[in-house]
Amino acid sequence: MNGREAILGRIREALTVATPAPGTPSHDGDRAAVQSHLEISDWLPAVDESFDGMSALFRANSAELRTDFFLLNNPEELVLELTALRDAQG
Amino acid sequence: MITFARQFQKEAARITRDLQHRLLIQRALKKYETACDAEKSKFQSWEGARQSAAEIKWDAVNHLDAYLTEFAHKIEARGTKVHWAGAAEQAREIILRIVCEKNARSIIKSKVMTGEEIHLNEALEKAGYDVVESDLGEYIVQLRHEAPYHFVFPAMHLSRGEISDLFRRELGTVPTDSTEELTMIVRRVMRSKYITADIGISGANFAIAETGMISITENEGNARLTCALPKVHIALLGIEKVLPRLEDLALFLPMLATAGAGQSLTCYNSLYGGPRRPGESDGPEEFHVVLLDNKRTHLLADAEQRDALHCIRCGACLNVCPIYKNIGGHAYGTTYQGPIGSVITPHLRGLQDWKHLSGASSLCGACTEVCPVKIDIHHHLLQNRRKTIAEKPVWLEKLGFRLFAFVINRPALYALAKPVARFGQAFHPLIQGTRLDPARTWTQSRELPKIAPQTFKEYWRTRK
Repeated sequence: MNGREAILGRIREALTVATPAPGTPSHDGDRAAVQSHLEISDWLPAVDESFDGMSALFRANSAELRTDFFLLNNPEELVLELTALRDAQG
Repeated sequence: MITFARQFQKEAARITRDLQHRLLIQRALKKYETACDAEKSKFQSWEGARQSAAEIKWDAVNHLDAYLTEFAHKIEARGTKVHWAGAAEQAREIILRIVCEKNARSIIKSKVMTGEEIHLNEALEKAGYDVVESDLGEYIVQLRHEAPYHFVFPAMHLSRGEISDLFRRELGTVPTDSTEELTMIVRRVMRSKYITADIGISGANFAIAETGMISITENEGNARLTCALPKVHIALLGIEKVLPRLEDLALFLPMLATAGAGQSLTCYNSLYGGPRRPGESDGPEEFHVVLLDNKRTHLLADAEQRDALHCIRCGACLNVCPIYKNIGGHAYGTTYQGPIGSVITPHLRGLQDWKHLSGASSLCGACTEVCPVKIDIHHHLLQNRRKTIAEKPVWLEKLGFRLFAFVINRPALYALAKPVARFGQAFHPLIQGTRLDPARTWTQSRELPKIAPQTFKEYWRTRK
Protein backbone atom coordinates (compact mmCIF):
# COMPACT_ATOMS: atom_id res chain seq x y z
CA MET A 1 0.00 0.00 0.00
CA ASN A 2 1.44 3.41 -0.96
CA GLY A 3 1.38 6.56 1.15
CA ARG A 4 -1.67 7.93 -0.61
CA GLU A 5 -3.76 4.79 -0.08
CA ALA A 6 -2.60 4.46 3.53
CA ILE A 7 -3.58 8.02 4.43
CA LEU A 8 -6.88 7.92 2.55
CA GLY A 9 -7.62 4.57 4.20
CA ARG A 10 -7.03 6.04 7.66
CA ILE A 11 -9.21 9.03 6.81
CA ARG A 12 -12.06 6.83 5.58
CA GLU A 13 -11.86 4.67 8.68
CA ALA A 14 -11.88 7.74 10.93
CA LEU A 15 -14.88 9.20 9.13
CA THR A 16 -17.05 6.16 9.72
CA VAL A 17 -18.12 7.95 12.90
CA ALA A 18 -20.12 11.05 11.95
CA THR A 19 -20.01 14.33 13.84
CA PRO A 20 -22.84 16.85 13.94
CA ALA A 21 -22.46 19.93 11.78
CA PRO A 22 -21.85 23.17 13.72
CA GLY A 23 -25.07 24.52 15.11
CA THR A 24 -27.11 21.42 14.29
CA PRO A 25 -28.15 18.90 16.90
CA SER A 26 -28.37 15.97 14.46
CA HIS A 27 -25.60 13.68 13.30
CA ASP A 28 -26.78 13.89 9.72
CA GLY A 29 -23.72 14.56 7.57
CA ASP A 30 -25.57 15.66 4.45
CA ARG A 31 -23.45 18.29 2.70
CA ALA A 32 -26.25 19.97 0.78
CA ALA A 33 -28.27 20.50 3.93
CA VAL A 34 -25.31 22.05 5.71
CA GLN A 35 -24.42 24.45 2.94
CA SER A 36 -27.88 25.47 1.85
CA HIS A 37 -27.96 28.57 4.06
CA LEU A 38 -24.42 29.79 3.36
CA GLU A 39 -24.39 33.38 2.13
CA ILE A 40 -20.86 34.58 2.55
CA SER A 41 -21.52 38.08 1.24
CA ASP A 42 -24.13 38.57 3.97
CA TRP A 43 -21.44 38.52 6.61
CA LEU A 44 -18.47 40.22 4.98
CA PRO A 45 -17.88 43.99 5.17
CA ALA A 46 -20.48 45.76 3.05
CA VAL A 47 -19.46 47.00 -0.39
CA ASP A 48 -21.43 49.65 -2.25
CA GLU A 49 -22.57 48.27 -5.61
CA SER A 50 -22.01 51.56 -7.51
CA PHE A 51 -18.68 52.27 -9.18
CA ASP A 52 -18.22 55.44 -7.13
CA GLY A 53 -18.88 53.52 -3.92
CA MET A 54 -16.42 50.80 -4.83
CA SER A 55 -13.68 53.22 -5.86
CA ALA A 56 -14.17 55.24 -2.66
CA LEU A 57 -13.79 52.08 -0.60
CA PHE A 58 -10.75 51.05 -2.64
CA ARG A 59 -9.22 54.48 -2.03
CA ALA A 60 -9.85 54.25 1.71
CA ASN A 61 -8.39 50.74 1.94
CA SER A 62 -5.38 51.79 -0.14
CA ALA A 63 -4.73 54.67 2.24
CA GLU A 64 -4.85 52.22 5.14
CA LEU A 65 -2.18 50.13 3.40
CA ARG A 66 -0.16 53.29 2.72
CA THR A 67 -0.59 52.85 -1.03
CA ASP A 68 -1.16 55.73 -3.48
CA PHE A 69 -4.38 55.28 -5.38
CA PHE A 70 -4.95 57.03 -8.73
CA LEU A 71 -8.27 56.96 -10.52
CA LEU A 72 -7.63 57.94 -14.14
CA ASN A 73 -10.12 58.73 -16.86
CA ASN A 74 -8.26 57.67 -20.00
CA PRO A 75 -4.98 56.19 -21.35
CA GLU A 76 -3.50 59.66 -21.88
CA GLU A 77 -3.85 60.43 -18.18
CA LEU A 78 -2.21 57.08 -17.45
CA VAL A 79 0.81 57.95 -19.59
CA LEU A 80 1.14 61.33 -17.86
CA GLU A 81 0.84 59.77 -14.40
CA LEU A 82 3.36 57.02 -15.12
CA THR A 83 5.82 59.51 -16.58
CA ALA A 84 5.46 61.71 -13.52
CA LEU A 85 5.99 58.71 -11.23
CA ARG A 86 9.06 57.62 -13.19
CA ASP A 87 10.54 61.12 -13.00
CA ALA A 88 9.79 61.40 -9.30
CA GLN A 89 11.09 57.96 -8.36
CA GLY A 90 14.08 57.92 -10.71
CA MET B 1 15.69 12.64 32.30
CA ILE B 2 13.74 15.87 32.57
CA THR B 3 10.17 15.42 31.38
CA PHE B 4 8.32 17.80 29.08
CA ALA B 5 6.03 18.64 32.01
CA ARG B 6 8.94 19.49 34.33
CA GLN B 7 10.59 21.57 31.61
CA PHE B 8 7.30 23.40 31.02
CA GLN B 9 6.83 24.15 34.74
CA LYS B 10 10.40 25.37 35.06
CA GLU B 11 10.29 27.59 32.00
CA ALA B 12 6.80 28.92 32.80
CA ALA B 13 7.87 29.83 36.34
CA ARG B 14 10.98 31.61 35.05
CA ILE B 15 9.23 33.61 32.34
CA THR B 16 6.28 34.58 34.55
CA ARG B 17 8.68 36.42 36.86
CA ASP B 18 10.15 38.38 33.93
CA LEU B 19 8.05 41.54 34.13
CA GLN B 20 9.82 43.22 31.20
CA HIS B 21 8.90 40.29 28.97
CA ARG B 22 5.32 40.38 30.16
CA LEU B 23 5.07 44.09 29.45
CA LEU B 24 6.45 43.64 25.93
CA ILE B 25 3.99 40.88 25.06
CA GLN B 26 0.99 42.54 26.62
CA ARG B 27 1.76 45.84 24.87
CA ALA B 28 2.00 44.06 21.50
CA LEU B 29 -1.20 42.14 22.13
CA LYS B 30 -3.05 45.29 23.17
CA LYS B 31 -2.28 46.84 19.77
CA TYR B 32 -3.49 43.66 18.07
CA GLU B 33 -6.69 43.66 20.12
CA THR B 34 -7.56 47.24 19.14
CA ALA B 35 -6.90 46.59 15.44
CA CYS B 36 -8.76 43.29 15.53
CA ASP B 37 -11.86 44.81 17.15
CA ALA B 38 -11.88 47.60 14.55
CA GLU B 39 -11.69 45.10 11.68
CA LYS B 40 -14.35 42.83 13.15
CA SER B 41 -16.71 45.80 13.42
CA LYS B 42 -16.48 46.27 9.63
CA PHE B 43 -18.11 42.88 9.07
CA GLN B 44 -21.86 42.95 8.61
CA SER B 45 -21.92 40.04 11.01
CA TRP B 46 -18.73 38.61 12.47
CA GLU B 47 -20.80 35.92 14.21
CA GLY B 48 -22.45 34.94 10.93
CA ALA B 49 -19.04 34.77 9.29
CA ARG B 50 -17.77 32.51 12.10
CA GLN B 51 -20.74 30.21 11.68
CA SER B 52 -20.22 30.00 7.91
CA ALA B 53 -16.49 29.38 8.35
CA ALA B 54 -17.20 26.63 10.89
CA GLU B 55 -19.68 24.99 8.51
CA ILE B 56 -17.27 25.11 5.57
CA LYS B 57 -14.45 23.61 7.64
CA TRP B 58 -16.83 20.99 9.00
CA ASP B 59 -17.75 20.06 5.44
CA ALA B 60 -14.06 19.96 4.41
CA VAL B 61 -12.90 17.86 7.37
CA ASN B 62 -15.87 15.50 7.37
CA HIS B 63 -15.41 14.76 3.65
CA LEU B 64 -11.64 14.98 3.76
CA ASP B 65 -11.03 11.88 1.64
CA ALA B 66 -13.12 13.21 -1.24
CA TYR B 67 -11.71 16.74 -1.14
CA LEU B 68 -8.09 15.62 -0.80
CA THR B 69 -8.48 13.26 -3.74
CA GLU B 70 -10.02 16.05 -5.81
CA PHE B 71 -7.24 18.47 -4.82
CA ALA B 72 -4.48 15.98 -5.65
CA HIS B 73 -6.07 14.95 -8.93
CA LYS B 74 -6.47 18.53 -10.15
CA ILE B 75 -3.06 19.80 -9.11
CA GLU B 76 -1.36 16.72 -10.59
CA ALA B 77 -3.14 17.36 -13.88
CA ARG B 78 -1.12 20.57 -14.19
CA GLY B 79 2.20 18.80 -13.72
CA THR B 80 2.62 19.02 -9.94
CA LYS B 81 4.00 16.00 -8.14
CA VAL B 82 1.96 15.20 -5.02
CA HIS B 83 3.63 13.22 -2.21
CA TRP B 84 1.73 11.68 0.71
CA ALA B 85 3.68 11.57 3.98
CA GLY B 86 2.22 9.50 6.80
CA ALA B 87 4.71 10.68 9.42
CA ALA B 88 7.24 13.44 10.03
CA GLU B 89 10.13 11.16 9.12
CA GLN B 90 8.59 10.32 5.76
CA ALA B 91 8.01 13.99 4.97
CA ARG B 92 11.65 14.77 5.78
CA GLU B 93 12.81 11.88 3.61
CA ILE B 94 10.67 13.02 0.66
CA ILE B 95 11.98 16.57 0.86
CA LEU B 96 15.60 15.47 1.35
CA ARG B 97 15.30 13.15 -1.66
CA ILE B 98 14.02 15.98 -3.88
CA VAL B 99 16.74 18.33 -2.65
CA CYS B 100 19.41 15.66 -3.23
CA GLU B 101 18.12 14.76 -6.71
CA LYS B 102 18.31 18.39 -7.75
CA ASN B 103 21.89 18.73 -6.49
CA ALA B 104 20.73 21.74 -4.52
CA ARG B 105 22.97 23.61 -2.08
CA SER B 106 20.93 26.58 -1.06
CA ILE B 107 17.33 26.49 0.15
CA ILE B 108 15.05 29.40 0.93
CA LYS B 109 11.93 28.98 3.02
CA SER B 110 8.90 31.11 3.61
CA LYS B 111 6.86 30.54 6.76
CA VAL B 112 6.21 26.78 7.12
CA MET B 113 4.72 25.72 10.46
CA THR B 114 4.54 22.12 9.33
CA GLY B 115 8.28 22.45 8.68
CA GLU B 116 8.73 23.32 12.36
CA GLU B 117 6.50 20.38 13.25
CA ILE B 118 8.70 17.89 11.38
CA HIS B 119 11.99 19.64 12.33
CA LEU B 120 12.80 20.20 8.69
CA ASN B 121 15.51 22.84 9.14
CA GLU B 122 17.51 20.58 11.46
CA ALA B 123 17.28 17.70 8.98
CA LEU B 124 18.33 19.86 6.02
CA GLU B 125 21.18 21.51 7.90
CA LYS B 126 22.39 18.14 9.19
CA ALA B 127 22.50 16.95 5.60
CA GLY B 128 24.74 19.91 4.78
CA TYR B 129 22.29 22.27 3.08
CA ASP B 130 22.24 26.01 3.59
CA VAL B 131 18.71 26.92 4.75
CA VAL B 132 17.47 30.45 5.25
CA GLU B 133 14.09 31.68 6.46
CA SER B 134 12.77 34.55 4.34
CA ASP B 135 9.97 35.76 6.63
CA LEU B 136 11.32 38.64 8.72
CA GLY B 137 10.24 37.25 12.09
CA GLU B 138 11.28 33.72 11.20
CA TYR B 139 14.68 34.97 10.03
CA ILE B 140 15.19 36.77 13.33
CA VAL B 141 14.41 33.67 15.40
CA GLN B 142 16.55 31.56 13.07
CA LEU B 143 19.51 33.88 13.74
CA ARG B 144 18.86 33.40 17.47
CA HIS B 145 18.58 29.59 17.06
CA GLU B 146 15.13 29.76 18.61
CA ALA B 147 11.72 28.35 17.71
CA PRO B 148 9.00 30.79 16.60
CA TYR B 149 7.31 32.41 19.57
CA HIS B 150 3.86 32.71 18.01
CA PHE B 151 2.00 31.36 14.93
CA VAL B 152 1.71 34.77 13.32
CA PHE B 153 4.31 36.91 15.09
CA PRO B 154 7.37 34.65 15.47
CA ALA B 155 9.58 37.35 16.99
CA MET B 156 7.03 39.28 19.04
CA HIS B 157 9.02 38.66 22.25
CA LEU B 158 11.89 40.82 21.04
CA SER B 159 12.26 44.58 21.23
CA ARG B 160 13.68 46.63 18.36
CA GLY B 161 16.84 47.10 20.41
CA GLU B 162 17.33 43.36 20.80
CA ILE B 163 16.80 42.83 17.06
CA SER B 164 19.23 45.63 16.22
CA ASP B 165 21.85 44.06 18.54
CA LEU B 166 21.28 40.69 16.92
CA PHE B 167 21.80 42.12 13.42
CA ARG B 168 24.93 43.96 14.57
CA ARG B 169 26.32 40.74 16.01
CA GLU B 170 25.31 38.37 13.23
CA LEU B 171 25.29 40.59 10.15
CA GLY B 172 27.70 43.37 11.17
CA THR B 173 25.16 46.16 10.61
CA VAL B 174 25.01 49.56 12.26
CA PRO B 175 22.66 49.69 15.29
CA THR B 176 19.30 51.33 14.60
CA ASP B 177 15.99 51.81 16.35
CA SER B 178 14.02 52.24 13.14
CA THR B 179 11.67 49.40 12.13
CA GLU B 180 12.01 50.41 8.47
CA GLU B 181 15.80 50.24 8.59
CA LEU B 182 15.74 46.87 10.33
CA THR B 183 13.42 45.61 7.61
CA MET B 184 15.68 46.98 4.89
CA ILE B 185 18.68 45.17 6.40
CA VAL B 186 16.88 41.85 6.04
CA ARG B 187 15.61 42.77 2.58
CA ARG B 188 19.19 43.37 1.39
CA VAL B 189 20.33 40.03 2.83
CA MET B 190 17.40 38.20 1.26
CA ARG B 191 17.77 39.66 -2.21
CA SER B 192 20.84 37.58 -3.04
CA LYS B 193 19.42 34.52 -1.26
CA TYR B 194 16.32 34.51 -3.49
CA ILE B 195 18.45 34.68 -6.63
CA THR B 196 20.90 31.97 -5.62
CA ALA B 197 18.47 29.54 -3.95
CA ASP B 198 18.00 26.25 -5.79
CA ILE B 199 14.88 25.25 -3.90
CA GLY B 200 12.04 27.23 -2.37
CA ILE B 201 10.03 25.64 0.43
CA SER B 202 6.69 27.07 1.50
CA GLY B 203 3.69 26.00 3.52
CA ALA B 204 0.11 26.76 2.52
CA ASN B 205 -2.75 28.43 4.30
CA PHE B 206 -5.37 26.58 2.30
CA ALA B 207 -5.55 23.89 -0.38
CA ILE B 208 -8.46 24.39 -2.76
CA ALA B 209 -10.03 21.12 -3.87
CA GLU B 210 -12.19 22.61 -6.63
CA THR B 211 -9.26 24.10 -8.56
CA GLY B 212 -6.28 22.11 -7.26
CA MET B 213 -4.37 25.12 -5.97
CA ILE B 214 -2.66 26.17 -2.76
CA SER B 215 -3.35 29.57 -1.27
CA ILE B 216 -0.67 31.53 0.59
CA THR B 217 -1.44 34.71 2.48
CA GLU B 218 1.36 36.98 3.74
CA ASN B 219 2.42 40.56 4.36
CA GLU B 220 6.02 40.75 3.20
CA GLY B 221 6.00 39.31 -0.33
CA ASN B 222 8.67 36.83 0.72
CA ALA B 223 6.51 33.77 0.10
CA ARG B 224 5.80 34.99 -3.42
CA LEU B 225 9.52 35.27 -4.18
CA THR B 226 10.27 31.95 -2.47
CA CYS B 227 7.68 30.22 -4.64
CA ALA B 228 8.48 31.95 -7.91
CA LEU B 229 12.25 32.41 -8.18
CA PRO B 230 13.92 29.07 -7.36
CA LYS B 231 13.74 26.35 -10.03
CA VAL B 232 12.02 23.94 -7.65
CA HIS B 233 9.16 24.75 -5.30
CA ILE B 234 8.14 22.39 -2.50
CA ALA B 235 4.94 23.10 -0.55
CA LEU B 236 4.55 21.22 2.72
CA LEU B 237 1.07 21.21 4.22
CA GLY B 238 -1.10 19.28 6.65
CA ILE B 239 -3.97 17.27 5.16
CA GLU B 240 -6.50 19.36 7.09
CA LYS B 241 -5.71 22.51 5.08
CA VAL B 242 -8.18 21.66 2.35
CA LEU B 243 -11.14 23.90 1.52
CA PRO B 244 -13.85 22.73 -0.88
CA ARG B 245 -14.24 25.70 -3.22
CA LEU B 246 -12.28 28.67 -4.52
CA GLU B 247 -15.07 31.02 -3.41
CA ASP B 248 -14.51 29.88 0.19
CA LEU B 249 -11.38 32.06 0.15
CA ALA B 250 -13.66 35.11 -0.08
CA LEU B 251 -14.57 34.34 3.52
CA PHE B 252 -11.42 32.73 4.85
CA LEU B 253 -8.84 35.26 3.62
CA PRO B 254 -10.47 38.28 5.33
CA MET B 255 -11.29 36.23 8.42
CA LEU B 256 -7.73 34.94 8.73
CA ALA B 257 -6.33 38.45 8.27
CA THR B 258 -8.77 39.91 10.80
CA ALA B 259 -8.38 37.25 13.48
CA GLY B 260 -4.68 36.73 12.87
CA ALA B 261 -3.30 40.22 12.46
CA GLY B 262 -6.14 42.74 12.86
CA GLN B 263 -6.05 43.52 9.13
CA SER B 264 -8.82 43.71 6.50
CA LEU B 265 -6.73 41.56 4.22
CA THR B 266 -3.06 40.70 4.15
CA CYS B 267 -0.96 42.49 1.53
CA TYR B 268 -0.15 39.50 -0.67
CA ASN B 269 -2.57 36.69 -1.44
CA SER B 270 -1.38 34.14 -4.00
CA LEU B 271 -2.62 30.94 -5.56
CA TYR B 272 -0.22 28.32 -6.93
CA GLY B 273 -1.48 25.54 -9.14
CA GLY B 274 1.54 24.00 -10.77
CA PRO B 275 4.97 24.54 -12.29
CA ARG B 276 5.75 27.08 -14.98
CA ARG B 277 3.95 26.26 -18.21
CA PRO B 278 5.35 26.71 -21.73
CA GLY B 279 5.30 30.38 -22.62
CA GLU B 280 5.19 31.59 -19.01
CA SER B 281 8.01 33.89 -17.98
CA ASP B 282 8.31 32.96 -14.32
CA GLY B 283 7.51 30.29 -11.76
CA PRO B 284 9.32 27.10 -10.79
CA GLU B 285 10.25 24.42 -13.31
CA GLU B 286 9.16 21.78 -10.81
CA PHE B 287 6.42 21.94 -8.21
CA HIS B 288 6.03 19.38 -5.41
CA VAL B 289 3.25 19.27 -2.84
CA VAL B 290 3.86 17.19 0.29
CA LEU B 291 0.65 16.31 2.13
CA LEU B 292 1.39 15.51 5.76
CA ASP B 293 -0.68 13.32 8.06
CA ASN B 294 1.60 12.96 11.11
CA LYS B 295 -1.23 11.71 13.36
CA ARG B 296 -3.84 14.18 12.12
CA THR B 297 -5.92 11.11 11.26
CA HIS B 298 -5.79 10.15 14.98
CA LEU B 299 -7.48 13.43 15.76
CA LEU B 300 -9.89 12.89 12.88
CA ALA B 301 -10.88 9.53 14.34
CA ASP B 302 -11.78 11.24 17.61
CA ALA B 303 -15.29 12.44 16.77
CA GLU B 304 -15.48 14.45 20.01
CA GLN B 305 -12.42 16.56 19.15
CA ARG B 306 -12.43 16.36 15.35
CA ASP B 307 -13.24 20.04 15.04
CA ALA B 308 -9.74 20.86 16.33
CA LEU B 309 -8.70 20.10 12.73
CA HIS B 310 -10.73 23.16 11.64
CA CYS B 311 -7.93 25.39 12.97
CA ILE B 312 -6.64 27.90 10.39
CA ARG B 313 -3.61 28.86 12.55
CA CYS B 314 -4.65 32.49 13.01
CA GLY B 315 -3.30 32.59 16.57
CA ALA B 316 -6.34 34.48 17.90
CA CYS B 317 -6.70 32.03 20.80
CA LEU B 318 -3.09 32.69 21.85
CA ASN B 319 -3.64 36.43 21.84
CA VAL B 320 -6.48 36.31 24.37
CA CYS B 321 -5.21 33.49 26.55
CA PRO B 322 -4.27 34.66 30.08
CA ILE B 323 -1.75 31.80 30.29
CA TYR B 324 -0.06 32.58 26.97
CA LYS B 325 0.05 36.29 27.90
CA ASN B 326 2.07 35.40 30.97
CA ILE B 327 4.25 32.48 29.96
CA GLY B 328 4.73 33.34 26.28
CA GLY B 329 5.28 30.95 23.39
CA HIS B 330 8.57 29.23 24.17
CA ALA B 331 7.56 27.79 27.55
CA TYR B 332 5.16 25.36 25.85
CA GLY B 333 8.04 23.62 24.07
CA THR B 334 5.72 22.79 21.17
CA THR B 335 5.32 23.85 17.53
CA TYR B 336 1.73 24.90 18.15
CA GLN B 337 1.51 26.96 21.31
CA GLY B 338 -1.35 28.39 23.33
CA PRO B 339 -4.81 26.89 23.79
CA ILE B 340 -5.14 25.20 20.39
CA GLY B 341 -1.60 23.85 20.70
CA SER B 342 -2.53 22.40 24.08
CA VAL B 343 -5.48 20.65 22.44
CA ILE B 344 -3.71 19.19 19.41
CA THR B 345 -0.17 18.53 20.67
CA PRO B 346 -1.16 15.61 22.95
CA HIS B 347 -2.85 14.01 19.92
CA LEU B 348 0.14 14.58 17.63
CA ARG B 349 2.94 13.84 20.10
CA GLY B 350 1.49 11.59 22.81
CA LEU B 351 -1.21 12.19 25.39
CA GLN B 352 0.78 11.16 28.48
CA ASP B 353 3.90 13.17 27.60
CA TRP B 354 1.94 16.35 26.89
CA LYS B 355 -1.00 15.98 29.29
CA HIS B 356 0.29 18.87 31.40
CA LEU B 357 -0.68 21.32 28.64
CA SER B 358 -4.41 20.83 29.21
CA GLY B 359 -3.80 21.71 32.86
CA ALA B 360 -2.20 25.02 31.81
CA SER B 361 -5.56 26.68 31.33
CA SER B 362 -7.90 28.71 33.47
CA LEU B 363 -10.78 27.36 31.33
CA CYS B 364 -12.07 30.91 31.00
CA GLY B 365 -13.28 30.18 27.47
CA ALA B 366 -11.82 33.33 25.88
CA CYS B 367 -10.12 31.12 23.26
CA THR B 368 -13.41 29.53 22.22
CA GLU B 369 -15.08 32.92 22.05
CA VAL B 370 -12.55 34.39 19.59
CA CYS B 371 -11.93 31.33 17.41
CA PRO B 372 -13.00 32.32 13.87
CA VAL B 373 -13.98 28.73 13.04
CA LYS B 374 -15.74 28.15 16.37
CA ILE B 375 -13.56 25.36 17.76
CA ASP B 376 -14.74 24.45 21.25
CA ILE B 377 -11.19 24.84 22.55
CA HIS B 378 -11.67 25.01 26.30
CA HIS B 379 -13.98 22.01 26.35
CA HIS B 380 -11.38 20.10 24.35
CA LEU B 381 -8.86 20.89 27.09
CA LEU B 382 -11.24 19.36 29.60
CA GLN B 383 -11.72 16.34 27.35
CA ASN B 384 -7.94 15.90 27.15
CA ARG B 385 -7.80 15.92 30.97
CA ARG B 386 -10.53 13.28 31.10
CA LYS B 387 -8.84 11.12 28.45
CA THR B 388 -5.50 11.32 30.23
CA ILE B 389 -6.98 9.98 33.46
CA ALA B 390 -9.08 7.36 31.69
CA GLU B 391 -5.99 6.09 29.86
CA LYS B 392 -3.65 6.10 32.84
CA PRO B 393 -5.18 6.86 36.25
CA VAL B 394 -2.96 8.60 38.82
CA TRP B 395 -3.23 6.42 41.96
CA LEU B 396 -2.60 9.29 44.38
CA GLU B 397 -5.31 11.41 42.79
CA LYS B 398 -7.65 8.44 42.71
CA LEU B 399 -6.99 7.73 46.38
CA GLY B 400 -7.55 11.40 47.21
CA PHE B 401 -10.91 11.49 45.49
CA ARG B 402 -11.97 8.18 47.08
CA LEU B 403 -11.07 9.53 50.48
CA PHE B 404 -12.95 12.74 49.74
CA ALA B 405 -16.03 10.74 48.60
CA PHE B 406 -15.81 8.57 51.70
CA VAL B 407 -15.77 11.59 54.02
CA ILE B 408 -18.35 13.69 52.17
CA ASN B 409 -20.84 10.79 52.15
CA ARG B 410 -20.68 10.45 55.95
CA PRO B 411 -22.05 13.57 57.66
CA ALA B 412 -20.58 12.68 61.05
CA LEU B 413 -17.12 12.19 59.56
CA TYR B 414 -17.45 15.38 57.54
CA ALA B 415 -18.48 17.32 60.63
CA LEU B 416 -15.39 15.98 62.40
CA ALA B 417 -13.11 16.82 59.46
CA LYS B 418 -13.92 20.53 59.70
CA PRO B 419 -12.46 21.27 63.14
CA VAL B 420 -9.50 18.98 62.36
CA ALA B 421 -8.82 20.99 59.18
CA ARG B 422 -9.09 24.30 61.06
CA PHE B 423 -6.72 23.03 63.71
CA GLY B 424 -4.27 21.80 61.07
CA GLN B 425 -4.39 25.08 59.22
CA ALA B 426 -3.30 26.99 62.31
CA PHE B 427 0.01 25.07 62.19
CA HIS B 428 0.39 25.16 58.42
CA PRO B 429 2.65 28.27 58.35
CA LEU B 430 5.29 26.22 60.24
CA ILE B 431 5.70 23.79 57.31
CA GLN B 432 4.57 25.99 54.42
CA GLY B 433 6.65 25.40 51.27
CA THR B 434 8.77 22.66 52.89
CA ARG B 435 8.80 19.01 51.85
CA LEU B 436 6.41 18.24 54.72
CA ASP B 437 3.79 20.54 53.25
CA PRO B 438 1.21 18.43 51.38
CA ALA B 439 0.02 21.54 49.53
CA ARG B 440 3.49 22.85 48.62
CA THR B 441 2.88 22.90 44.83
CA TRP B 442 0.12 25.39 45.50
CA THR B 443 1.71 27.31 48.35
CA GLN B 444 5.04 27.91 46.58
CA SER B 445 3.51 30.89 44.81
CA ARG B 446 0.07 31.33 46.40
CA GLU B 447 -1.67 31.53 49.75
CA LEU B 448 -3.67 28.51 50.78
CA PRO B 449 -7.35 29.55 50.98
CA LYS B 450 -8.42 29.93 54.60
CA ILE B 451 -11.07 27.61 55.93
CA ALA B 452 -14.07 29.72 56.90
CA PRO B 453 -14.44 30.16 60.68
CA GLN B 454 -18.08 29.13 60.38
CA THR B 455 -19.85 26.70 58.08
CA PHE B 456 -23.13 27.78 56.51
CA LYS B 457 -25.03 25.50 58.93
CA GLU B 458 -23.25 27.08 61.92
CA TYR B 459 -24.00 30.55 60.57
CA TRP B 460 -27.67 29.64 60.07
CA ARG B 461 -27.95 28.43 63.63
CA THR B 462 -26.41 31.61 65.10
CA ARG B 463 -28.56 33.81 62.82
CA LYS B 464 -31.63 32.94 64.91
